[in-house]
Amino acid sequence: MFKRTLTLALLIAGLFTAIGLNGCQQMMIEIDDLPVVVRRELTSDPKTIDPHLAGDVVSSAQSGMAYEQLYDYDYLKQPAQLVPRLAAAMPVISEDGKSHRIKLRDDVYFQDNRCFPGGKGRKMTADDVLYSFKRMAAHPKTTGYWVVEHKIVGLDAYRSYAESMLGAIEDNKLRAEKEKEVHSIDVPGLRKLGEYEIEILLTEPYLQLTYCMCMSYLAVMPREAVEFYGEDVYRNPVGTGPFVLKYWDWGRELLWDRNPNYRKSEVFPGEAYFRQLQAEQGGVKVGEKAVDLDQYKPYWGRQLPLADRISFRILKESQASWLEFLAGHIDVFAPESDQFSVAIQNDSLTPEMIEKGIYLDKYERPVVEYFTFNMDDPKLGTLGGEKAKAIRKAFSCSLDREEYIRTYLNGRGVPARMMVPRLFPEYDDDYVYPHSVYDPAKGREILKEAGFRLDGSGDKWKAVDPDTGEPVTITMLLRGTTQTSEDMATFLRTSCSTVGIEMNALKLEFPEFLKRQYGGTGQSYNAGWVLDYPDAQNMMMLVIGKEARNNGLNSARYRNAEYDAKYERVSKLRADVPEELAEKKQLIREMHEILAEDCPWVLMYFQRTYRLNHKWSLQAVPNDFNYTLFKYAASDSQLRRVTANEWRQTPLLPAAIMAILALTLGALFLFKVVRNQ
Amino acid sequence: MWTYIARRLLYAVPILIGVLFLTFLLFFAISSPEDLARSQLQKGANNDSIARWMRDQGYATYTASGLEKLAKAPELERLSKAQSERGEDARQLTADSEGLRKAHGPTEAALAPAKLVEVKRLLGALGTLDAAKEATAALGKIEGRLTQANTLPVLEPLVAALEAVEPRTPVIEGTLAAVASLRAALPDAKLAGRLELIDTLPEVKKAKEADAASEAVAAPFEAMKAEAKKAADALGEKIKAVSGDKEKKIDPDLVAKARLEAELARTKAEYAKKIAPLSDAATEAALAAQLAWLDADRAKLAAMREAAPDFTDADGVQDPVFATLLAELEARRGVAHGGKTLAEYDYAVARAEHDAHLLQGQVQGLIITAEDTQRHGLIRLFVTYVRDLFTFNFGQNNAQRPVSEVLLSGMGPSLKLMIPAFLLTEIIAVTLALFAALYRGTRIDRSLVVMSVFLMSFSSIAMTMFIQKVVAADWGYFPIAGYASGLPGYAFLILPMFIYVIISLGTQMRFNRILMLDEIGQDYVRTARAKGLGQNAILFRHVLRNTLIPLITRWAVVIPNLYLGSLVLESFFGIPGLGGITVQAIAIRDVNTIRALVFIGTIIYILATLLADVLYAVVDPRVKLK
Repeated sequence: MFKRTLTLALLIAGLFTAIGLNGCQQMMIEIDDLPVVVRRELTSDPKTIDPHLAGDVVSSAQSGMAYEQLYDYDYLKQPAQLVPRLAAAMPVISEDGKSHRIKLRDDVYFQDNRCFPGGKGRKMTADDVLYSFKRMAAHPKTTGYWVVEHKIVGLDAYRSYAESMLGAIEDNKLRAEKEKEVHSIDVPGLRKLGEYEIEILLTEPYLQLTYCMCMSYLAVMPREAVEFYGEDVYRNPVGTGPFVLKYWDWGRELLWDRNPNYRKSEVFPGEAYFRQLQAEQGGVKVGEKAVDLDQYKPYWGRQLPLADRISFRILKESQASWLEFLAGHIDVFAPESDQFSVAIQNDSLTPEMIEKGIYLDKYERPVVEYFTFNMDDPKLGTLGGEKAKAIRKAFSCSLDREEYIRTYLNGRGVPARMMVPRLFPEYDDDYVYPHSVYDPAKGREILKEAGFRLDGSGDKWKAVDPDTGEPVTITMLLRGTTQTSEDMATFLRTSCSTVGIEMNALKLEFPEFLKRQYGGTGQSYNAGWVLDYPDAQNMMMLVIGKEARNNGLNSARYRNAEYDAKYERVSKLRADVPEELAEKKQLIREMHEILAEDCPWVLMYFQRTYRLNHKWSLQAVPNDFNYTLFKYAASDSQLRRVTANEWRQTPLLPAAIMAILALTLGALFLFKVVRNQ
Repeated sequence: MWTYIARRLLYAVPILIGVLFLTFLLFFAISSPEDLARSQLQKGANNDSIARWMRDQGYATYTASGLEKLAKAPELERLSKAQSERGEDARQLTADSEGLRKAHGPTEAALAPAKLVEVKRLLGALGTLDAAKEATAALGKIEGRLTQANTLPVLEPLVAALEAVEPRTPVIEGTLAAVASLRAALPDAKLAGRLELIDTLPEVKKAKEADAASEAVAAPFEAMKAEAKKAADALGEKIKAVSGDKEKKIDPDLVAKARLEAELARTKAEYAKKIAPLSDAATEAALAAQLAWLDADRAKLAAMREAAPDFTDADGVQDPVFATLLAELEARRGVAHGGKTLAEYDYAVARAEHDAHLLQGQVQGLIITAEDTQRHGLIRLFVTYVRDLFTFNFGQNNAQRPVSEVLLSGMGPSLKLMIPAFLLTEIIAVTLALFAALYRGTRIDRSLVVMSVFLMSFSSIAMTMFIQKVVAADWGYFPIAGYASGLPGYAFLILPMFIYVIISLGTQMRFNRILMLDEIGQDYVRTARAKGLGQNAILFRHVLRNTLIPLITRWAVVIPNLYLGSLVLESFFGIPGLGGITVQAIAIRDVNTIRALVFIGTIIYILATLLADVLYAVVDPRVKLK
């Protein structure tokens, strides 16, 4: 009995040890068998790699690995500058602004894939571009139709036609057949002028169309892939882009390999480009820090993509990502609160990080956090009159944004001074939106002037409406029930008490929050917005009257004809034409003034990211609008392997102690058992 | 025993239905599909996209709003009105186009005689490149005549006439080019046996392509009509199946309330009617073709008029024919008919009919739904809900991935982690508990109790973070995170398994120790000892066997949860199991995934308790399953 037990125990122990060693060995060797392998992490799988359905950042970036659009952004130019990608040139826009003629490149091939005859990718033509527009418009699951809604002649009618044709069909096969039929119908506003030229006819001038053509929603897909893979095309990408998907192991990893047929003309910029950058904009900056352009020298003129392979591991927990980063298995990492103090102190890297050769990037992102008041609310909205206005304004004065960013975000934010991000040319250095300044004394003054009675002292005040005897309260809806929301609730309560307002902050699950925000049933909301393209219009449209409706973008339900009129003009002005930019800035300032008077919005902050990079990783210059930047990503796999091995120390002592402990206990146990026997 | 198992399985049905009813109420009372749609669509959310999303996700039959708006009269009224309007539109348009058709009719009649038809075809032959397909047909028809004549004299006067026309329009140029090609192809003017060459003429080829294109333009109209008719027919059948007169049940008050909405809908329909023909490419293409054809006709007529004396004399064509052709031309141009061409009318009629059919379908569908909802209400919706689950039709998750696929892919890693971890924990916990019970009150027992309390006191998250940091990251004994399939994949699972054992061991050991202590104090143990049995025999053969019943009961509760994995371990170690999927599904209210998880969980739980009952009988001879 004893011998049998012992033998079994030894066998099991041996098996586990063998497996363990094998696995560890595998981890150590890794699969970096190519010179340039980039290793990144994601906190979740992308929802899809179908660009026409990709509505979130992760999905868009993954789609951007395989698909391309007619336009995207220049690699390093700041502010972001449009360049043709699948188009041969920038669009020729007619005088009335309603016709965009676009010449296409004639050297673009789709990736080799079994959906094509013989598995060989064919040339992209105008038909593919028009097909992609139509597919997106006709797709019932796309979340991106808004980029062309009401803009292209006949496209709305086409979409509803597609819906009538396809909506009622439940049988997948029949649906696929009908889809083919629908996709082959012409749309008046999408015209093919030649094999490599198209014309887009618009219902009204739409300056932002070119920006929208940089978004994944208007990426070019071949008809064959859609028809071959059907719904599964979302995980079988076939584009013209720099990478082909090797595998997508759900929940574990996405692995992309270089597309061997990527067009040879796509090369990393050369010396001339960098000289021009130096001359025109004095180099390149990531946040406030100038980038050392010499690090790009080895890549000048090199065929894109730079990386032979890019791996995205799915690591949901930030601790796992952090440890993997420290071990050298991941190239880049943006620390969260838990890791922040270990990596960054006093806005700089800790000595431990510096010793590892890690460098830090800090930059602002076009993602804004703000508060809106529901102007349809009887107490705090328009109907509330001057008193409501005073409460809104006092609230804006009570928020110490710097303090919030410092205490709760570890500095990962920049106080918003106007609705336009600092990265945009429309940003006005000389202007500060009145409702973005911390001044609790002024807030109390405003309330007093409006007739409220204030009692208290220091940071604890209580405002009461003498007419009703009720305290002044605001009910704020927060999106999410996480610690971040809890922090925000605490901050709001503390802040509001400095002006005498009682804050009732409700943490809601995200769907519930959206329901109330878009249904207009809340009193005020803690909202956020990720800008889609570098045009201030994308921000200013959030307050226009026609969006003040259920499920509209204007959650403040603010309506002001003067604001709307100025918006109409702003949306037609370009930022890259100096005269127009001046007018645009002036109008935006006036629009802020209109908002300042009524105060439907209170600005909080723009997000700021801290990114840690290993020394073997080529520095990336962030551009949140460009989802096709990975073709410029590079890492020195050899250096990573060597360094990670150096860092990996496997001390024998703990293992020995544990083994002795286990053996002693085991022996004791066996001794007792044997003695009992 | 089999009877018992069968009876237990039967009992499972009401339990399952009860659980499903609870989840059903939870999903449709607390969180409506509209809310889910909104959270999914985010920036793309508007009324249309929400409706589309819900329909696409299969929520149409479950909608809470469908329940609360049980009396769908306003919607019904609106749709009925829209339907009758579009029907009226179709009738009006058909009537409008009648005049046009009448004008067209005599033309055909007048051109009926074979000779005149040939003349018309001949004109086609002399027509534009666009009409060259007609030329092919015409030439085919006059094959006999031309073969007899063996020459092309019949063309000569027309060619001469065309050559005289100034200025030379593209149409005339094209015509002359076509004739030149014919001549080149037929040098001897001998046509017999060589007519097939006509098909190879570039002009004819081009014409054929043009013709195919024009057919493509017409195809969608037909498809639209057929599709709409099919949909309407299918719904008609449904209606018949359900019942007769439903409209009577509509609440007149609600109808009155809907008037405003109907008015808006009408305005919208009128607007759509205005822009529809303009915005549709097919109409534009048809119009362009029509106009090109008309230009060609006009050129032909002009040319023929120039050559009228010779031509009429030679072929006996009289003025009335020209008059008829002119009438047709005018008719086609639609001068007398509000500027509409036949193609426009055809399209507008098709579109109106299509709309009317679809609307009719919607109205009928709505009547059925309202009727059914009124009749069966919640129960009917619930039946659909249950049917879907029992047929394993779990639908898609919020990321459009089939739920069954998601669950299958996640279940593997979860079980791979949890089953060995669970077995290992139980083996160690039972062994240590036996040991503790045996040495009850000694230092060994006390040390084990202290150890288990120590392990129980630790937070599982803190323990996981600590061990991962120290053992995997700092010491490098195991991979930090990751997963791989196959045997080598276990390398990634050893550390999480180890942590699972440590986290669970304290509780399990304490629980087992108490069971063992209960048993070890029993009379039969004393008897066994008195009989002189060794400690090991007493412990493993008697005590352990008797503690198996409460152990099995506990395992029956724990085992069903194993398939759900461990959220903490899976998240920290990047294992793509069901733990993360479950939490994510709850966080984003992925209804389809949650209900499938609940359903499968319930089934496994029922089976596990059944298995436990069977095992009772196996381990304890006193238990009989009846």
